[in-house]
Parts: sequence; C-alpha cells; structure tokens
Amino acid sequence: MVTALLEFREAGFAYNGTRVLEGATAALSPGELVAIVGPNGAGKSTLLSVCAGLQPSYEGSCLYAGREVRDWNRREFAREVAFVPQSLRMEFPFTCEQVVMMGRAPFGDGLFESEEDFREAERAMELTDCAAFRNRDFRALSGGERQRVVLASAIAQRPRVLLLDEPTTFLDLKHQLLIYGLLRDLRKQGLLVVTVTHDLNLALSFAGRVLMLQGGRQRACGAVEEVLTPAAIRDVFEVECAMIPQPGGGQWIAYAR
Amino acid sequence: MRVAAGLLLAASLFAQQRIISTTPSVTEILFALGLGPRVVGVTTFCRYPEEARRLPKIGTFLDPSMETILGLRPDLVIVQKNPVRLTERLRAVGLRVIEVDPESMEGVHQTIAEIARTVGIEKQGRELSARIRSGIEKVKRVTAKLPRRRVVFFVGRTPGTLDGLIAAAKGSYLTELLADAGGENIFEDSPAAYPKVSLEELLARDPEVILDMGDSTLTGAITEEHKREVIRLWDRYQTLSAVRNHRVYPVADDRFVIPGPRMVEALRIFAKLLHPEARW
Amino acid sequence: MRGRALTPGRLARILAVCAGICLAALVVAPWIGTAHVDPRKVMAGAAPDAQIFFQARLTRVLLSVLAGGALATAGVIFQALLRDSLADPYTLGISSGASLGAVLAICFGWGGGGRLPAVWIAALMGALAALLMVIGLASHGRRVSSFSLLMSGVTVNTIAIAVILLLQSVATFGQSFAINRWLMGSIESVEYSTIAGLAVVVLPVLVYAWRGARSWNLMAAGEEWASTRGVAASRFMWRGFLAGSLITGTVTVITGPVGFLGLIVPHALRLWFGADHRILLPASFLLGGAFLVCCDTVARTVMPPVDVPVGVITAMLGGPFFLWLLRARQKRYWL
Repeated sequence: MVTALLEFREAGFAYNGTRVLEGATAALSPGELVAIVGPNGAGKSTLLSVCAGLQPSYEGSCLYAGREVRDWNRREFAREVAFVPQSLRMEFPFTCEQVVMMGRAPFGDGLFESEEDFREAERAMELTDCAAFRNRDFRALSGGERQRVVLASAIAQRPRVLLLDEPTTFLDLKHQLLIYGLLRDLRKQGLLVVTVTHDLNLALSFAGRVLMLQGGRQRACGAVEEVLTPAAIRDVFEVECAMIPQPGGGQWIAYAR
Repeated sequence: MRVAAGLLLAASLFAQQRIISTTPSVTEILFALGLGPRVVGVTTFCRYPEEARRLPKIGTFLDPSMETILGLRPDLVIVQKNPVRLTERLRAVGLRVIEVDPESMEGVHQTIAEIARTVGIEKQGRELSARIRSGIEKVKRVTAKLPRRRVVFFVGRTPGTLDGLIAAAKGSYLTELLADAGGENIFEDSPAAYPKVSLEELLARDPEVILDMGDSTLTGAITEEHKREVIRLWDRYQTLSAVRNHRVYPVADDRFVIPGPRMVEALRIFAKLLHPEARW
Repeated sequence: MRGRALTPGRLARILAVCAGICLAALVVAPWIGTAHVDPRKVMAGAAPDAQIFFQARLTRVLLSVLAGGALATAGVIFQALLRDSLADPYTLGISSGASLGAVLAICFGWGGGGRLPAVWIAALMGALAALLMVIGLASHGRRVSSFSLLMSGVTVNTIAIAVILLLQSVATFGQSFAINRWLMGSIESVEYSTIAGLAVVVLPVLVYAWRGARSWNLMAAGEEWASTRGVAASRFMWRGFLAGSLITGTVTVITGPVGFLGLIVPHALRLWFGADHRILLPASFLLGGAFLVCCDTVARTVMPPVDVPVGVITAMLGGPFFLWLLRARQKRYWL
C-alpha cells in the first residue's frame, strides 16, 4: 500500500453560511486517476478547489503530503499540485506560449525564465499537441485548443498532483479522448490525477476510482465498477440506465429515455 | 397740466418702492443714487455699503432663490446680464425687470443712467456719472504725463503656491482701470478675459509691477503677515524685474472686482501702486 | 514581434527604444514654447532665457514625465488587478476621489491652511475610498463585472465632482480658484523639490511592481489562476490596489485629475508588444511620460498666452478612444 498523497477527512465548506460540502473523506495515492462525479450543485468543484488550496477556510481536514493544505506556502504548493480550471477567460493578448510559461512561475524568482523553464514548457506543449499555435493570441483559439494550452500550463508545473475541473466540457469527442488519454499516461508516470467530470462513460473507461457526491455529501468512494452501478446512477442522477459489456472487456453505460 | 405731471411723478415714485439687486455692482450703484432706503433685497456678496449687509439676501448672482425674490414682493428687479436666464424667469411670473451690464467702466455709467431713468431720477443719475468721470479725469491728468508701467494683475491661483496663475486680460474691467492708472497690461493680447497663463509667458513678458490678489481668501482685507508670505513666494523668480525691484504688491479689495461708483477709489489705489514716485 | 519568448536581450532592446523616445521628449520639449529662447543664453545662465528654460519649462517637462509615467503605470496596475482593459485611474473615479480629498483639505484648512502633507494624505484617503467604493459597488461575491465597474466608476466620479462643486460654491474667492485645478488637471511649473518628492513616491512603486512582473502576468490571467501558480493572490491584490492608489493620489495632488492616459498608453503597448508585464510596466511608464510631455507641449503652445489645462487635451484624445474601445469590445461580447 502506497501512502496517501492527498487525504481529506470530513472535509466541508460553507459559502456565505450555506453548506455546499460536508463529510468528504478519502485518501488518494500517486498513480491513481480519480473521477469526482455527481449532479449539478453536488459540490464537485468545491471539493476540488479545497484540494487546490483555493478555499483556506475549509472545515475538517485536507492534507497534502501530511500537512494541511491551508498551511502550505503557496509557491511550494504550486510546485506540487497543479490546477486546471474549467475555462480561462482572458482579457489581455497573452500568447499561448506565455500562458504555458505561466506554469513555470513557481520555479523562479527572477524576471526571466531559465533554460529548464523553456525545456519544461516545450515538453508540455508537445505532450498536449499545442506547439503549433504557440505564438497565437490565446483569445483567438477554439475552445479545444484553449483547453489544451491550459492543460499544458499545468503540466509545465511538473506537479505530483493534477486537479482538473471538467477539463473536457467544451471539447469535441476526439479531443475529449485525446485529453483523457493524456491523463492516463500521466497517471502511469506516477501522478495523482483528480478530475471532475459529468461524463460517466469517460470516468468508467479511464478512472480507477470514483468519488460520488450528492447534494454536498459524499455518497460513495471506491473502485469505478463498484460505484457506478445502475442503482446508484438512478439514485443520484435520477436517470435510468443499463450497463452494456464492451467487446474488449469493460462496460459502457447506456442511458434510457 | 402741472397737476397731471405731478401725479405722474408721484405714481412713478410710488411704483418703485421695493427694489431688488442681483449683484454687488448694482447694489453699490443703487446706494450711490440715494435709492438705498428702497432696496429690499441684495445678494450674499453685497457687503458695501454697511447698510446693505443688513438687508434680506436672495442668494448669489448665479444662484438666486426665486422663492425669496417673490416673497419680498418687489416692484422692480435689477438683473445683471447672466447665463442663468434670470430675467426671463422673473418676467414670466409678472415682475418688472430691467437688465443691466456693469462689466466695464462705460457699462457702469450706462447702468447708472438706466436705473435713474427707470426710477425717474435722471438728474441724480447724471450728477453721479459726472462726479465719477471728473474723479477719473483727475487721476488721468496725472498719469498721462507719467511713463506707462508694464503690469500684471493676478485674480487667482492655488493659494500657497504660484501654480495656476489666472490673470486679468483683454477686455476686463481691471485692464481698463490699470490703463487709466498709467499701466499697460502685459496680457492685453489674450483671447480670454481671465486666462490661466503659463510661468513661461510671465517670465518672457517680464512685468515691472505685479499685483497679486491670488492668495487672498477674502477680498475684503489683507494682513501684513500675509503680504510678507506672498512676497516670499515670488522671491523664487529673481529674474522678474518686479521681484528684483520689490514691486510685487499683494492686494485684496472688493473695489477691484466690483465695477461701480467706487471705481475712482480703485483707480487711485492702482495709480499710486504703479507710480509711487509721483506726487499724489 | 510579440510571439517570441522574452529574453533579457529582447527586453533590453524594447526598453531602450522606449527610453529613447522618452529621453527625446525630455530633451526636445523644453526648447518648444511661445517665448523665444536662445540656447547660448540658456547655457550662460542669462535672464530671462535661462529662467524660462529651467524654471518655467524644464520643471513642467519633468513633472509631465513623472506624472504621465505614473498614471500609465497605475492604469496597467488597475487593469491587471481588475482584468479589465477599460480600467484607469480616471474611469474608475480614483482621480476624482483624490481630488475631492485634496479639496476637502484645502476648504477645511486641515494641517494648517492646507499645506502639502495634509493635502497629500487627504488625497490618498480620497483615492482609496473611491477605489473601495467602486469595487464594493461592482463586485458580486468574488466576481467584478466590467459593466458594473464602469457604471460605479461613473457614479463615484459624479458624486465626487458634485461635492467639489458644492464646496466651491461655498468657498471663499481665493479657494474657489484653487479648487478649479482639481476639476481639470493641468501641469504647472512646480518647484524642483516637488518633482523630487513625486519621484521618491513613484519610482519605488514602479520598481516594486516591475520586480513582481511575472506575478502581474498571473494576476492578469485570473485570481484563481495566480493563486494556484504560487501567488498569495489576495495579499498581492491589496498591495497592488494600495500601490495604484498611492501613485494616483500623489500625482493628482500635484496635477489634478488628468484622464485617460492610463487607458491609451497601455492599450497601444499591448498591441505592439503583447501583454507581458515585464515589458508593459516599464514601457508604460516611459511612453506614458513621453505622451504627457507631448500633450503638455500642445497645451502650453496652442493658444498663447492662455495655458490650456492638459486634462482638456488628454480628455479630448482619450474620450473618443474610450468609446472606440467600448464598441470594439461590444462586438466581442456584451461588456
């Protein structure tokens, strides 16, 4: 058993007095790909942002490498944990390369990037296949291209944990599969990948574990086949479905109308 | 015939028993014409003569209170030409209004004549005008023989500094007075009457005399200590002849900014400041 | 030009060009003016040419460089923190807030007849109060919408100017002249000590901001974005707002509200060099300074001997520019 890298116990969060998350408990280890699923308003993004250190006033406990997330120095934390927002609305004409390079900010103090920073940015752009538009204005890209650039920026951080908030929402099928393929590769390299998603089939085919939330409470956390059952899906999402075996092994969720 | 004339005179006298003035200039003219007892309303800035201070206030020139004016039940309102359309507004409610424009020396004389005609005291009007003209002539007879002094008059600036200098220029009442006092306004060529001028132009035009009203928080009076402070400010610019020759005069006086019967007094003050060497 | 990665050499080349333009303005502008000035007499220190050059013109040019540079820098700071390229000390109402502070100090004679330190502190308070009010009015939770930001800026502006006009209408004769300057900004021939004082406030703030230029890039992309990339976002933000208010308030005490500089200069620079704050912050300072020098040169020569307030010139250039920006943005999305 590998020791947990990211561990939350009875983690909760209240926003302006409204409790949006409570009792989230799980221990996540390197080399895992964990999907957080649940209907709208279940608290998925909130849980992710607690893990990312964006909500220091969380309740309960949320430990990264044995230390409370809120106690981490922001810079040191950013060298360990990278966060990919759902979308990035950019006001100013930054180029894609500049956006990717922002991932290297926690590693240098000076005004200029180091040789290593350039190498890492290059590698991240190659991995996500966005080197071709490196010099274009970020705002002029399509939704899929933008998401790849944002992911590249997170990969350039060389993190041990990658947190993603619905990374494929605006993407077409091809790019959805491309991103998830990439996440699987990163997991194999030993990263802990935690992603919020609405697409249960993507979770089913790529994630090892699933954390299911409902109305701000943790409903289940466990191996993907055990959690994503027709009964649980009916209960949580209020949708009828059936599991269809795939030819190459594994299962596929088919929704009924 | 004589009876009719007498009745007419009486009627006109009784008709204008309650007069309202809307500027300090008009107030001073009314009192100089001996109409003081008939004035029932003045502005907050009317501080001369002493009796005017005790009269009901109708607000200011640019912001008069219609309500107060109507409450005073005037039978004549004398309005100085202004951008707030006061004349039209007062006439619309049925008041008798005359509009005057005492913004220049000649304008003061015309205002005197107009008020005198309206109230039916033309003779007193002519006498007052003649008195003012002869006072002016007396000063001019002396200054005509003296060299003309290049002068600048600052009406405003940022107190405590020499920034934002506002000078009296072309076409202003002050420029007229200064000319009669034997001076020549160095900003005579300005397209505006009260322009903000640059230090550069001041240094280049180098006046012989600087009259500085810019630091006064009141136009009524100026203390000796304040005068010394203003002179210290100007000491920076030793290149100015006026500064080198100690001819910077901090001044503050209502008479400089209120065109009216006291113009002779203002003129005499200017003439003495411009030509202290002459016998006065 | 703007695509390549930023190397020390490229940054040096860009800044050298900007510094060259700024220096050229500094050197040329004092020789332009309505009065004739003979260079030989200036060098020999002869009156009045030397005084016109050193006391009347050079002081104005130096003040323009510092004030213009500071306002353009403040523009960059507010734009990055609010992620809105229409934010500027003037459109946000911060200049008016500072003006109101200064006018209050003058009218109530705070600190003994309204001398500089008291007026300065009052203006800083005014700037900060206006900023807090605008952000408070425009924010919904953590979000600040551009439309409500602009509306709040307009509102704060209107209120501040109304109070200034009210104070002016009850002020004494001398005070009312003084108040004019805080209604329309202008560059004056101030003393060298004033210019030195302005430099002591503005230059350290600029250096402080520039040292954190990469963090400014992150903040300009988003607060969350910066936070997850190692910036202590809320602390950084408040320091930034303080820095922006400090330089805006300090400049406004000396020049009154000069508008739109912080809008025009950073926008043009982004078109040329991109959004990287390592270039944007120093280049805005240098070209903002050069730009205000040009505007002031026009202001003091266009209608001699009248000295047109430079705020009039920048507003006439900046107003239409602002509307054009607004329209261009409406095509992209509804504010």
